[in-house]
Amino acid sequence: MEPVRQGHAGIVDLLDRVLDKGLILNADLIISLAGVPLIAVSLRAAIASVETMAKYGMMRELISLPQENPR
Amino acid sequence: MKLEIDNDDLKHGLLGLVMGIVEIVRDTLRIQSVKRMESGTLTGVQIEKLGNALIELDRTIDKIKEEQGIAEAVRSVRDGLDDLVNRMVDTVADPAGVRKMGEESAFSRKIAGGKR
Amino acid sequence: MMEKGLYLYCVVAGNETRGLEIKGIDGQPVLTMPIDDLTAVVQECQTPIANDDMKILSDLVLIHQAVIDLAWERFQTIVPFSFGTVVVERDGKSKEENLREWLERESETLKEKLRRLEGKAEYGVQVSWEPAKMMEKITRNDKEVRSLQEEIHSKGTGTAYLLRQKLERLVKERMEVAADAYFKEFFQGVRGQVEEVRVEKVRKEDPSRQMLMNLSCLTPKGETSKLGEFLDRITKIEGFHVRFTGPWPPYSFVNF
Repeated sequence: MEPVRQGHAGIVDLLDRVLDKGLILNADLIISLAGVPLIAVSLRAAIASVETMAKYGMMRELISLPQENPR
Repeated sequence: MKLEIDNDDLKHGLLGLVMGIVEIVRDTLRIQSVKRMESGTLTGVQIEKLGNALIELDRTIDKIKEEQGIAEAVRSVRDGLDDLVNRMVDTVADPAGVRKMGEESAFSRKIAGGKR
Repeated sequence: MMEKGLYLYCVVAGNETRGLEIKGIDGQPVLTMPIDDLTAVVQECQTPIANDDMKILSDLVLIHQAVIDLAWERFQTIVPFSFGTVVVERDGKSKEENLREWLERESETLKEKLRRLEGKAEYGVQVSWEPAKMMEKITRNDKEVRSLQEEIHSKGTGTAYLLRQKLERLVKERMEVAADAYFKEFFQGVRGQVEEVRVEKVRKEDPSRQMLMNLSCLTPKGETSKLGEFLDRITKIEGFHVRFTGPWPPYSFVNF
């Protein structure tokens, strides 16, 4: 099989890759993580499952999922 | 059983929390009961009674969840607690966040099979 | 209290003065700052950039990735920064001075990382199985499971209930043993086809599937045919699924 980078869960893969990864600098005075730990936490919660996102209508524009019947 | 709480959010939150804890107690009772059954110290009649009592407890819990519409709230309380426990275990067992092959496989999650 | 900062995307080798043909966060131009045979790819930004709106947040992540992708394409080898890394004014020094000082101090480490990552890319390998299908398969010829199932049918409701609890726990144990065995086998197989592997945490998926293994692999960019063949073998096993993603910039291999 060939590796892919898009597809319906592309954003989920991307978040997996980008959050808490990459060069993380020592808590140096000059570096502010720009409130990103918070971002990471809330995004983490959001990507807990694609299903959850679909349910709450999060990132609807980014992820095309079959629309559930409104309950 | 009917609880009169006007605010739906409050009701869901509070009842969800209480019921989540009740379910955890129930799960513990189940495990202990099976252990007692396996230990061979119970008579057939006692085992049958114990099982029936647990069935009754399950029914009651399910009924309350349905009546109050809190199944979802309970589920999220329990998932939240599971995550918390997993995080604590990870932090204690793996302070640097480094997982090495060989110590223990990365597979430490619950097998999602059947009803909990 | 907003302050100005320099948002860091990545560091590349050599002295590059030309910016990138792309708009960054808040539509700002993406600049290059050459320092000591290294170049930082940066942009001006307002900090903190934290935001509670999921849509805005995911857009930020997408911009972060788009810029890094472009830099990766143009410079071939990069050390990507974690999402949201910003240099600010501190200790009476401007943000540019602070960045310069940091780069000079870390110069050797960064160059070492760049050498190690040259021409390489990261690939994600995630293997999942369908517990319901697997359960049947694993317990089909299990004597202990079979005899317990038979016993359940011959007992009263209360006793049957307790035996069912016992059966569930037994099946769960069997599943975990199987999962461990699969994990080891797959891990060895993947490790044989790539240069470096990191075991990541498994994520929850939709209820019908369960992630067994989540790996980040580092290997020369584009050289994935052998790995692909191995993963094909996994997908042929009934009830197993593989997500194979990439090529990604080497996010998971820069902190070592």
